[in-house]
Amino acid sequence: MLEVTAWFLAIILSVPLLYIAYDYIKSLMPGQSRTYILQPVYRLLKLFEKKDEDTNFFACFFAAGSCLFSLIALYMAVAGYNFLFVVSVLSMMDLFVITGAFSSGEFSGRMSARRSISRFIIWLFASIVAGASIYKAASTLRLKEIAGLSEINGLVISLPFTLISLFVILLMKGNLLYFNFGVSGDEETVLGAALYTPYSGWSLAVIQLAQWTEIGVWLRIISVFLPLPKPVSYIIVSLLYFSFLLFDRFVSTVEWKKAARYSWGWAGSMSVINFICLFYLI
Amino acid sequence: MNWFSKIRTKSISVFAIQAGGCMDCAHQFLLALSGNNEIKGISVTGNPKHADCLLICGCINGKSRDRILEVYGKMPDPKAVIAVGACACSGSLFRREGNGLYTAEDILPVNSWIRGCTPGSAEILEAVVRAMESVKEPDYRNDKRQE
Repeated sequence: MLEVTAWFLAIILSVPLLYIAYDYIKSLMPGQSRTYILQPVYRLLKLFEKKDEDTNFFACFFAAGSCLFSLIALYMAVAGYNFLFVVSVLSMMDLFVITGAFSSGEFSGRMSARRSISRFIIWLFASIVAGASIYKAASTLRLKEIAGLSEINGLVISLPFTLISLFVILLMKGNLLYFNFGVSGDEETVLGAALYTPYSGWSLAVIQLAQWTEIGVWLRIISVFLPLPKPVSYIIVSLLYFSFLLFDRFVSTVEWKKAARYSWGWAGSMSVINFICLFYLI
Repeated sequence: MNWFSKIRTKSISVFAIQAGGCMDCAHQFLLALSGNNEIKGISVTGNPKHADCLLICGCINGKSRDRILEVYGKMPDPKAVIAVGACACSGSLFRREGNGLYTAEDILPVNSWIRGCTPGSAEILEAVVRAMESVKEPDYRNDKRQE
């Protein structure tokens, strides 16, 4: 129980640290002004302070719900529950955010919810197929047992494409590279922030926390497959994600339908290829 | 200045609204941040519900007045309002034309004024930080000037 609690807290703290480091390195780049190192934390605290009397009950409900489900998913991932259970709880979290966007009743909210639903379908499909491949290779879906197997048997050899697929899901969730659906919430246009239209102040801060937790859950899930001790695996996967975070600065944003095609191509097809290899070719 | 006020000035989301006119004031502000996503923790947002500071640029007429009030109503408290440039501060060249022009102060409680045509980028950024420092907790929506 102590180990689970330590992992839980470490993951919750590690994701904001990644974004703080990203902000700091970004400010060191040529032509950039030095910004505050703790900028992401300042933003979060500022949002908690703000009062929004116009925010309806449902926005608060959906924000709190999504945060709760992300925390449950993190606990399940850390405690080594079934992979598909974790995915189903994460999908509940995503659905809460999308329903909140619909509840705004505004055009931009509905439009961004449409984008988000297409992202939801892609990552859920890829996760389910990945789950089937993992079950075929490991005969179990419990993350705890998979972690043990991957250290002993090198499970990653049987699941290389599934691992790529899961990492692409992580990139989709982080709105990075060609998998950015334009729903990150930190864009300079109302279209980019539209998914979070109904959320403001406190509820937006809670949504931000939920997103950070969700990134931590995927980092943890992917780290389970590496044939290394778990803390080392988690650090490696985090550093890999961090390098993609930096690389994202040099990649232009694509239109969201193109991002959807790329996501189907990488997340969807990679998991299907691994599935076919495991079930029919071997 | 309490603890939260210090944090408030280190992360400021600005919603810039162009009420009318030559757009130079809005361009000055956006140029100041071009290439840099954030200077002094200042960032641009397109969503009024995520904004801390409203930047009013240009001449305010009847139509833009309604839009400004609508945007202001959506911003969560505490929030600051800044009148940028001579047009928003006093009406500038157009104040005697009789076209029903308003100054920013006529319609909203303004925290900071930046005079000049066109004000410099550095002054605008400095004013944004100073305005957020001076923001008070009360809800300005009950202010009589809006009615």
